[in-house]
Amino acid sequence: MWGVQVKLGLGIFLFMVLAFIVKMPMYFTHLWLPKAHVEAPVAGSMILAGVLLKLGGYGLWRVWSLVGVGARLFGGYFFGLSVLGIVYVGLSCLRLGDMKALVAYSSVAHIGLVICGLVRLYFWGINGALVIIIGHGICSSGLFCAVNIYYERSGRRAFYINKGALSILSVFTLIFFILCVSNMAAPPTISLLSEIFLMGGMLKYDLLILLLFPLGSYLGAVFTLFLFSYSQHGKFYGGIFSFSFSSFLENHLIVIHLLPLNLAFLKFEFFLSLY
Amino acid sequence: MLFSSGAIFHTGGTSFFYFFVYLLTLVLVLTFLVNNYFSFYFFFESSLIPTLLIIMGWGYQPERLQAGVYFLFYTLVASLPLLLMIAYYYIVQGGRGM
Repeated sequence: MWGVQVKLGLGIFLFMVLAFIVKMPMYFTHLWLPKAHVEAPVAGSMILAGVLLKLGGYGLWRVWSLVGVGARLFGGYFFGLSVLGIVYVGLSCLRLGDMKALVAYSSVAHIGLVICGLVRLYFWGINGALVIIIGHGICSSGLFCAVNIYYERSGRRAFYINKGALSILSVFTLIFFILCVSNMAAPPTISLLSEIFLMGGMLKYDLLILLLFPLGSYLGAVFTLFLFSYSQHGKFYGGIFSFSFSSFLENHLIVIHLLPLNLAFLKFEFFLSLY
Repeated sequence: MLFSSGAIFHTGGTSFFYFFVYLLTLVLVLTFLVNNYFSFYFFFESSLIPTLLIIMGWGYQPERLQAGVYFLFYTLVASLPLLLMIAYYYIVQGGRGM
């Protein structure tokens, strides 16, 4: 009797949650994300990363009251998958040659953290997941816009073509760096806030998480710094003819993304009250 | 979490693009605002169609066709069990709420 009930429970939990697991991609079901992001135009990519992924998170939030009991029974699978997914995605980001694909994979890594926080059913974990969802939406959207600025000028998304932008678009380097700071969860952005919340929510699960979560976080910093330093530092690519200055519209667009990220930590009790 | 489409630029403007982006934004706002699971599911799925049209119509590489189809079917097939489960909860509980 107990065996039958547990099996039925797994089916219901999985069916209910599968839609959102695919939408906000968890590691095994993330295969559509790099394809869709790399092929989409910039506005489509921004809306995809900024809002559509959060649809999955919001949907998970909404059905959590129905199937949250299943998280105690079956959440371990998703937790382990997501934590290992962060590490794998972080490692595979270091071998990419495509800026947009790197930002897409960093989306997968962040959402892996979200799922880890959600299945723990701790207050800190769920709040941390919510803060990551908000911060990642703004940060990923800004990063896609920033990568598009280089794509529009050089016509290629490859790292090698777009390197050395510090010599060319110096002012934009500062803005790009502040955006990368948010992606690698460094202070003073709310991404750091979210990772601290999640650390409190995740670490009691198993001793192995003490190894995997810092490794995943570190790899996030590594590939974000890889993105920043490869595209900014170094000698600029010799095959460019002209490179227009970044217009007001582009700078304005990215600063709109930066301001919530860097200022929202000043009132972070707002995030604690959302649960 | 929602960004206004007025600040998003792209190379070479046609009016249909803004229509699709606006429609997508509208559907997404509605997804977060409705109160019952069926409406949420309806808007959840219908946000896929403008996204697919944006990817297919204004993407940059020829791989976007396959990528768009991949994205659409992956997400669609995975959320079909969600519809079954929402219907199941509706039947089991005799009526649904939040």
